Amino acid sequence: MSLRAMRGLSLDQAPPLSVVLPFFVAGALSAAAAGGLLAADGSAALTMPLAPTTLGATHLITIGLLMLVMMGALYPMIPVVLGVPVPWIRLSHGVFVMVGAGVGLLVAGLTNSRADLVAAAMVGLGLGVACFLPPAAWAAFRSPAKTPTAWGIRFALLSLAAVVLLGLLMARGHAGSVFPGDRWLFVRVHVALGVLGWIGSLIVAVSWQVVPMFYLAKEVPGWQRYSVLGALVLGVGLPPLGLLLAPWLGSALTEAAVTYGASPALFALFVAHPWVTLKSIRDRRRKRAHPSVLFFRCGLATAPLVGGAAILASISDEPRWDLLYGFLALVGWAAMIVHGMLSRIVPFLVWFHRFSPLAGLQPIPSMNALLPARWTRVGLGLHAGAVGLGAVGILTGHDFAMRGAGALLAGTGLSLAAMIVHVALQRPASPAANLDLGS
Amino acid sequence: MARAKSYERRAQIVEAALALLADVPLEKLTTRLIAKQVGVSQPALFRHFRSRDAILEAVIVAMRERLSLAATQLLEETPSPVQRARGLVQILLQNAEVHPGLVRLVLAETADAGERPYQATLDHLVSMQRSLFASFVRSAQAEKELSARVDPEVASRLIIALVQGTLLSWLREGRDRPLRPWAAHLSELWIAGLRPGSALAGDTEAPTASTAPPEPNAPRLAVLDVRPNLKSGADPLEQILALLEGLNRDGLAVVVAPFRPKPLMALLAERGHRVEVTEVAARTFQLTIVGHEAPALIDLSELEAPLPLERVLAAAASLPVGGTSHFRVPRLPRLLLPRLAQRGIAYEAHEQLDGRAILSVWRLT
Repeated sequence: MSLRAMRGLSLDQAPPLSVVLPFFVAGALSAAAAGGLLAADGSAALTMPLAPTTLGATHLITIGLLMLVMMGALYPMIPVVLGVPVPWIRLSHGVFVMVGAGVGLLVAGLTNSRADLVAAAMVGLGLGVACFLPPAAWAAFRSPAKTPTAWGIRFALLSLAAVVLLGLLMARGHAGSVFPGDRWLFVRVHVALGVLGWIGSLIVAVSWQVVPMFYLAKEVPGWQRYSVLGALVLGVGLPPLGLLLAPWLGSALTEAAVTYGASPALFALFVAHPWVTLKSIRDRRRKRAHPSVLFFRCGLATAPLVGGAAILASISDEPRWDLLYGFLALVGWAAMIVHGMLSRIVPFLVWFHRFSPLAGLQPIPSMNALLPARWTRVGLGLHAGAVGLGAVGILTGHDFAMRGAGALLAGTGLSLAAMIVHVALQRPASPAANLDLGS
Repeated sequence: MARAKSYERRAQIVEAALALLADVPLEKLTTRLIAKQVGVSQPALFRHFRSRDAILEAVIVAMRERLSLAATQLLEETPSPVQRARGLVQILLQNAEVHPGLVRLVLAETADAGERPYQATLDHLVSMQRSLFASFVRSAQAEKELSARVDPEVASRLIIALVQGTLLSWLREGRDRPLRPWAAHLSELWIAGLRPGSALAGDTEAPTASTAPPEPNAPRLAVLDVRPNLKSGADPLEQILALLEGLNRDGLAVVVAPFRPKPLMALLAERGHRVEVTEVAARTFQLTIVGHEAPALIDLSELEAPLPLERVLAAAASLPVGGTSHFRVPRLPRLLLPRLAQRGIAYEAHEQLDGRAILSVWRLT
């Protein structure tokens, strides 16, 4: 990275906390709502992948938690990592309102089988993403950065565009119109683009930035990062390609492309990336690390189980493997890592915006003092408990386990929201707090 | 264990090639001959070196290492620059007597001036000797032992020519007479020519260049990657010394090299510089050089974010006007730099090959 490129970054480019934090709090509350749904419906919520409650809980995690948090995180991440600010930053408030409302309407529509609510959700989500994607993509693709992290972010944005387009097409089917094709093929492509492309690429790309930064872990070698990214692009690209070429490929080939085409991405996300990242965490320069590193370790350790469940789901007709794959991928792997990232990023952003201007001028609390380690440990315990109990519930069909997992997931979301609010409320005692940049 | 064995075998091959070169003309030195001398098969030889030229390059590198070591010892043990020059001539002739194969290699290739794959390494071996002589002349001029009118570059070329000429006639005459006594003759002749009032130096002494204090806006952080110079066979010693002379007295210099430049380190230590060597990538070393008046480099690279940012800001807040601090941080501190600028603190940063960064900050007003 040249110094010239670095000098182009100014504080004006970093968005204020008021842009970012609402996305994070809403994301945490969505996780709590998903937990509430599971706790209320028990085993009935996780018996069929396309059951109303299952669809509702799934979208609360994918769109409510993961998409909102990732959108919020990209606003500061793009200028900091790629060196180009996201333009029209005020649009972010509109994005938050539209996506937030869209999630609420979508979940209400899916759980109550109300086509009108789903149609309204489509409008909200479509407009929200339409307001988010162009500025974010403009900044990401305008940046001269050629690092694997930069490419990962760009690919995640492309995947987001594709998954939303496909989602809108599918939601039209749910809203009463004719479904555009074989529902299962569309679901698989939707999952490949959403889970592997959008969520997976972003988790991978951001982990390459965050893990060395916060834990002094060894940088993953460039060739390994590019290999993971290459496999991810291939595995995310093949299923939609199969669907697009369906009229020429025939049903057998299309199904093979959609089902097995994602294998390179599954391998990259659930075997290669965890392997190299866990190794880099193990070899970190500073052995004593913040407890939030355990979120990464748990999430990455869950990844091979996700891969195993995905294989079982693709060869077995039993719906529980699809459910287990989805549950482990979303709650065990993605949400766990995102939870860990938030435990570091939120205190960092608050400390950076509010306290760092005073560093050296007056006593200020350390970043760790903003968020006591026990909060992180409580969040980890609740989250790990939800994953463990949920997996047992799906495999055994035990109602009590499912309700327990739901309650723990609700607790996880609430504790995360409380943590974000607790950190966000901290301000310097002196009038110098006015230095706060727009938060 | 296997690695140690491989290393030993490589060393054996290099020694065998060097020994053979003493009696076998360069064009007749084959891998078959070297393999026979080591007592291994030719394919076994190719497991360690891909070609004959690669072996010859390893021979030159090994010789460069030995010369570096001897020169470092000389710098540590001999304070006078004139004595050092004498000592270096002694080392070169002594080395030639022990390893006549190297002389054959150097002289044959220098005369050929062909584009062999190892030409740059060979050129560097010779230019390293030249740089050392030039730096000795410069130091002797500063101490008024040698005339300030003599160009150190010309003087160094002259002594190399004298040494090479002596070695060439020694080889042609069958290497019968001992070389060591010639060292004193050569160096005395050369030094006499450089003394004030000698024919080469002229009668009137030029005024000694005063060492002007560095400009206040001279760089606080200067970086020099000498790998391209070495690739072209040029020794970067002079360039490094020039870099240090142009540096602010509070400044820090970073030199990136493909090996540990031991004589340079000894030379810098003698001048009061503090030198730290870090292997920043495979076979790539970074020298961090701080002058005796400059503040020490503070290592924050073992601290998690945002502690380095906090420490740098705290240190910068207590800097007096014009004061400088140097830090090693875990990575390029993108978020810190605007904060520094906001407080009127100037900075320069350099990203190391291992991902860490050196950051120099100083207060302007």
